[in-house]
Amino acid sequence: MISASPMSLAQWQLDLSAFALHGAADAAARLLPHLKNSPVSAEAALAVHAACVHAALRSALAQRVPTVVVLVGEDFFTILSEAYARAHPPTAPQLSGWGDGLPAFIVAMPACAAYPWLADMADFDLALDRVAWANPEDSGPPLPLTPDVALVAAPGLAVLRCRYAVDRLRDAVAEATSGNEGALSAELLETAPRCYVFWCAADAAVRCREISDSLAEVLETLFLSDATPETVPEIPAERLAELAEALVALPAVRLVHTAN
Amino acid sequence: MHLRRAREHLPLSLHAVGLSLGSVDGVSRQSLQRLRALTDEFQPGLVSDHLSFSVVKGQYLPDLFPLPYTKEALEVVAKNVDAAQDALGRQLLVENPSVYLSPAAQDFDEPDFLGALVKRTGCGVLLDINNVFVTATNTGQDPNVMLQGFLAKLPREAIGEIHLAGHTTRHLDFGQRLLLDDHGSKVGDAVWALYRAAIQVLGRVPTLVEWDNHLPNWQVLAAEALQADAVLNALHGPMLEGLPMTFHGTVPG
Repeated sequence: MISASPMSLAQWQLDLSAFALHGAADAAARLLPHLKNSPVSAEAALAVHAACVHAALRSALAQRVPTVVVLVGEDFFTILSEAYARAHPPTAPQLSGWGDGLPAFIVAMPACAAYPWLADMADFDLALDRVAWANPEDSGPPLPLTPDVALVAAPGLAVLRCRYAVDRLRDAVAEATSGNEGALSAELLETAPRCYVFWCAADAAVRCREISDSLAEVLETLFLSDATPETVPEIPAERLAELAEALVALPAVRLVHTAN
Repeated sequence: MHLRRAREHLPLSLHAVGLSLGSVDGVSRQSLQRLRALTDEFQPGLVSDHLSFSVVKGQYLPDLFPLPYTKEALEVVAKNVDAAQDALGRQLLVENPSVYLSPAAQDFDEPDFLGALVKRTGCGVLLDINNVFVTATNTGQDPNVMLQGFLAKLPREAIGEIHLAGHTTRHLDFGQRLLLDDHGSKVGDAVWALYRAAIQVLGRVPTLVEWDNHLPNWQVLAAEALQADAVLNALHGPMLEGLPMTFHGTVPG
């Protein structure tokens, strides 16, 4: 039955968004008396809004975790995306940054228990995506090593620790997508702890390299903690000396001369 | 970088999708600040957003949800448009949306609502001709009658930009059909006919062909823009000098 008096705008907005995002039956029940069936049924029109919202969110998330989509398949990814959207709807207008909580959500989602490598894969995809959005001209502040030499992190520098060799898994997915289905071997799905560093190169290309656990720890301490250049925790000199060669050889950081 | 270079040669029209002008929670100050920074940098000729809402209690949903055209909604939208125009220091164009739902009790039809908004706030209107066709069809109205309503009820000078786009038909249960404004195909013949009718009355109005899904090759896109130019030129003569009036679009909305 159609209601002659309009519902409050606040209630309209709460109910429409609740139905579109969650499919909330109580929201639909409140809305329907205030909608006409002309010429399309109000239920069908409401469902179209819900479908549009989830399709847009799914598309945005799929762009950020393309390897995850291939590994789990389109249908399962749709389920995953919808569940994630309901639990963690966007809180900013830019969907390009939405989805950072997906790895933790995958870990907690029972339906993903059969894919123990999936959270790592999502983390890896997201790390690549974040670096892709980094400003190639936005390096971190220089960290003084000596009075006239400082260390500078490349734009977008990030470190990721994984239980699985997801870089190899990603390469295998790319090969399989190109026709070599044998590239996806079962051994890739066995645990093989890895550390990775990501950065944005001078030509704005996204780079990733596997690094040792020790080097990952140093990078995290130097560049990725909340510390400022003045308060960065001290790293024992002998440990830094051990890693100096690897650190200097890593294109994700560079030495700069600061003396005039 | 590309936008900066384009700006050196062409006037820009910035089309926003995230202000949520219909939101009872108001317009995000941060969004306005960011849009202001963009308009300060690029000095666009036109800035627009939609007569819709997408933000509810801090959640941003990627859809342009419709408003019931009530007195309460007019108060809310007018307040938000005032806030946006104050923050941007310029006039905002407000676009008529594609509507899939028909609220049972409304105080205004869409042209009346936009007309009242123009009167209250001094905003302009971005008249999306494809949205007129989609909304009219989906809500059981005659698209020609609806267009004439816009042309009769809005001050001529308020219509600062026109959008054209393609739409698709979604087939629902029980033989029902709903038109979706998906910007994924050529502008339909019926929409071109409405455009001609609008241009006949309005004169030259900057026109954007929106196409951001299933993008075709450049030749197809360019042909759409040239067709819009041809309509303008046929009705009002070719421009003697200056820039083409037609833009190509790859932005959602």
